[in-house]
Amino acid sequence: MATSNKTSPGAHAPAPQAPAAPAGIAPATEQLRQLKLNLQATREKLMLVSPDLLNDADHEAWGEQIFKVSVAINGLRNATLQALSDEFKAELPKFESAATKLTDELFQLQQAVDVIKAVSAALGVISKIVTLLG
Amino acid sequence: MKFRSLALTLALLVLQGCATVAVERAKDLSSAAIKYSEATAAVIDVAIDAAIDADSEAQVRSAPRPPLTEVKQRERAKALEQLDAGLAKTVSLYTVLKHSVNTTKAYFIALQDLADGSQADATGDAVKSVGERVNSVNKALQGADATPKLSDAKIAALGGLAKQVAAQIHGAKVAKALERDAPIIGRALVLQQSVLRLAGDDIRNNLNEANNRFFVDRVRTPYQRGEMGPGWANDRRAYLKVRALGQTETALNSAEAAAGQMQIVWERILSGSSSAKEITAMLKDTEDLLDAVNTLKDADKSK
Repeated sequence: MATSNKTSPGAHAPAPQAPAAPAGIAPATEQLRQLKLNLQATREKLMLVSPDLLNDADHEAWGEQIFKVSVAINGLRNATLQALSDEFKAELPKFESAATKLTDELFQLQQAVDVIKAVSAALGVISKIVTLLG
Repeated sequence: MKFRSLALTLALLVLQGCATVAVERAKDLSSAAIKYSEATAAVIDVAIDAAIDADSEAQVRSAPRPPLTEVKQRERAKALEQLDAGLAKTVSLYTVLKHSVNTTKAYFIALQDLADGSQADATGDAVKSVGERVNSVNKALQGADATPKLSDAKIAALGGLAKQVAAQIHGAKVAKALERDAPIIGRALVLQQSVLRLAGDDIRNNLNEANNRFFVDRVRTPYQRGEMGPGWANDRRAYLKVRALGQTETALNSAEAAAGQMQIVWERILSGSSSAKEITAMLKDTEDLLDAVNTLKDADKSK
């Protein structure tokens, strides 16, 4: 590994503790995330290499490692996002239907007032007709 | 008859109190959850840039030394295509998640509209208007000298009572909605929290990688070579602070603060406990209802 004699492993481990998984999230999604975090930590360490201090062979090997890790990070990120997106997608009809119900309930409340207003308006018309007839 | 009135009054008092607490809770929850959704969407935007930037900067850093053969150049073109395809998919998936987050925001906006949508004032005014029209019809039928069916005091009292009853009905609807939607709300919060975590990972990773490159170029290499310029101490301090604090991204911090506030409100709703503010609101409404009932009684007596 090109980085082995160029960095001090552990001395610059910068990754802050990632928050724990919330309850209700599929374990497979969390496993994918953990794998991605490990690879991201690996690339973070690869960034601690001073390119100028590498000979040509080590530099090429280091570049190849960065490329491979980057491809793997992208793949794992996409798998994680896809899994979460699928979980979210399954719930969306419920969110939409619940929001519609709330809107309907607000409409019903407004409608009740409209009915009383209509009664009041009808009484006003009646009193005018009676006055006219009288 | 007196007992029935008292029972009715007490029942109204209890319902009124609970209903108002539900309205306050729904207002708290919806406003916190809307902020949470907005913060999550903002973090997604930052995460998209962070994922692309971290990848690009790693490629810049590891650029091969020239000269490059034609074969090598073709290989690199393919490699770039592979990285681009992965990142394009990342952008697309984050965008889909942002849309999903906005759908949950739409739910909380609807909840906020319902919580803010009390028709109590409008109902009170409408009932008062009916009372006045009843007198007007009576006058039209019996002549200008006819005694009004309803006194002004009674019309006002009826309006006041109608207002309180409408407020109670509104609160009951909100309470029912909160109870009915509890699992949906809980699920929405968990999913958004997961989106925030994944996005946060990418933002942190980009920061850490940038900080490591900064350390190598501005702190370690000058130190190794004994070439520390006047800015070296500042650079070292900047690196150490980022390394120690881990995350400095404003959007991420604001999202996490919103998440904390919203979760507190949600836990309170689930546990059924009441805050001092809620209790005060409950007592105030109870007093208002009592006043309305008493005013109606007084109006009846004076007739």
